[in-house]
Amino acid sequence: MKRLLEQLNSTPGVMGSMVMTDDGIPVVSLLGDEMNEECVAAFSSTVRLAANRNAEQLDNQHPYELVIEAELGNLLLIHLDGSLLAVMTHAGLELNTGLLEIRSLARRLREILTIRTP
Amino acid sequence: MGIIESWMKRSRHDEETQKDLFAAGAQLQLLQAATRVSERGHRLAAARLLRAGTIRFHPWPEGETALDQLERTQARETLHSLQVAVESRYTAVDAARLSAALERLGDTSGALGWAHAAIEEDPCNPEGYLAIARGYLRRFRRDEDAVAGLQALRYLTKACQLHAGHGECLRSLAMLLLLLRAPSAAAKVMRPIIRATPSDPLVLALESLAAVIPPENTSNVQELFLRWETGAAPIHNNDATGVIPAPDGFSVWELDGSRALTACSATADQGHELKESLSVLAGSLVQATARIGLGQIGRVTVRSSDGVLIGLAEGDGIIFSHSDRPSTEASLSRWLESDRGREQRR
Repeated sequence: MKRLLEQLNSTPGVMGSMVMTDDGIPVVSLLGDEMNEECVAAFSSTVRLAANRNAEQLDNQHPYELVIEAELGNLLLIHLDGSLLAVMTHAGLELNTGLLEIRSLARRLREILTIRTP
Repeated sequence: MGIIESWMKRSRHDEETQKDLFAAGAQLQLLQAATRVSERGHRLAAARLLRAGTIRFHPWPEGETALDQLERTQARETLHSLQVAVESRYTAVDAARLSAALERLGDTSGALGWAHAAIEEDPCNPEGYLAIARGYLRRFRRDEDAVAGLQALRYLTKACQLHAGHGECLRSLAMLLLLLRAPSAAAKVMRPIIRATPSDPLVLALESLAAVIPPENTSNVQELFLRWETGAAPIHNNDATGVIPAPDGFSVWELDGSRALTACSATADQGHELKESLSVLAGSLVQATARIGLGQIGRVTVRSSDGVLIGLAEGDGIIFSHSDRPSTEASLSRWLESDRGREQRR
């Protein structure tokens, strides 16, 4: 899992990434020195829960992806089975192409998690 | 008087006396009682009294200092035996106890290491999660740090899920809810512990504190956190809600800087639950991007297989738009980024 996150972090524009459980408990994290693991975990999980609640009411299901664009960077939250992948990118990242690579690595992470939790 | 009657009478009397210690303004009385109990050699009981007092009278610096001294002394005295226990049999409970002692002695990384070891040893045992939650809860109370509060909530929720009736998990969760000024939610959590241990000082303190906080009008814990952090609750005024003209299939909601709904499209759901959850999402996004270090929120896209929700920051507020056809994301986005004709037709 750590190797995949390293690969993810080598994608141009990616600043750091982490995997946490559905309830916001960090599993593996490879965030830069400037980023605080517990802060990213706490707030990623909070936003994800809030988005889940909205999607439950609007779409009757949970979202599979959240893209948050802010002035200094982006935060991508991708649902893995029972877990959440958080990826921080630079503000300039071209989200359409960048997301393709991130989604592809998320799929591989999902496979690992599925193997680990039969 | 029979044995049972005399026992019952004493218990009721003790409970009444202890209750007085948690009445408003009884800090000095409680501190003196704890000192007397400690001098009699019952340091554990004294620590329980003080712990309960620091919850009831929070913030109470004198009580915190006295409790800190007592807990540190206990931790120093038990550290060796806890280390021996961990080395000789290594169970999740031993690791969690050692973690708690190290945490009290200020060795945060050691405490966290042993708590994680407890979780790894037995992921279904709540003790490891509880040990981590305790540290976060202490930080939340002492430093009023929202991150610590959110983390405490995560670990306590996990611990409560693993052992539904665990007394300490429930007491800690009730304490967190009372710090968030949610006495109604705390009362539900406390119900089983009040039944099981009605004269426990911590239970008496929690009950006494819950009685003096006005009941909250939301059951959404994220809303409680946002209110705690901002000191304000959004007020949705149905009569003053404007109308945003929107194409068929698009629902739109506009929220101002206080997270209150100010306008929406004619077909948009205006139910209380959805208004509250959009308000919580707006608040969480603003809070998250700032705290993570990403600056001000610009835009959010929430994709599910049956719909897409786009939020765009506008001034202090956020405008959300939803379509239940994911294939319309691009046109929804274009429409949202355009002037939407709101100003002319509202």
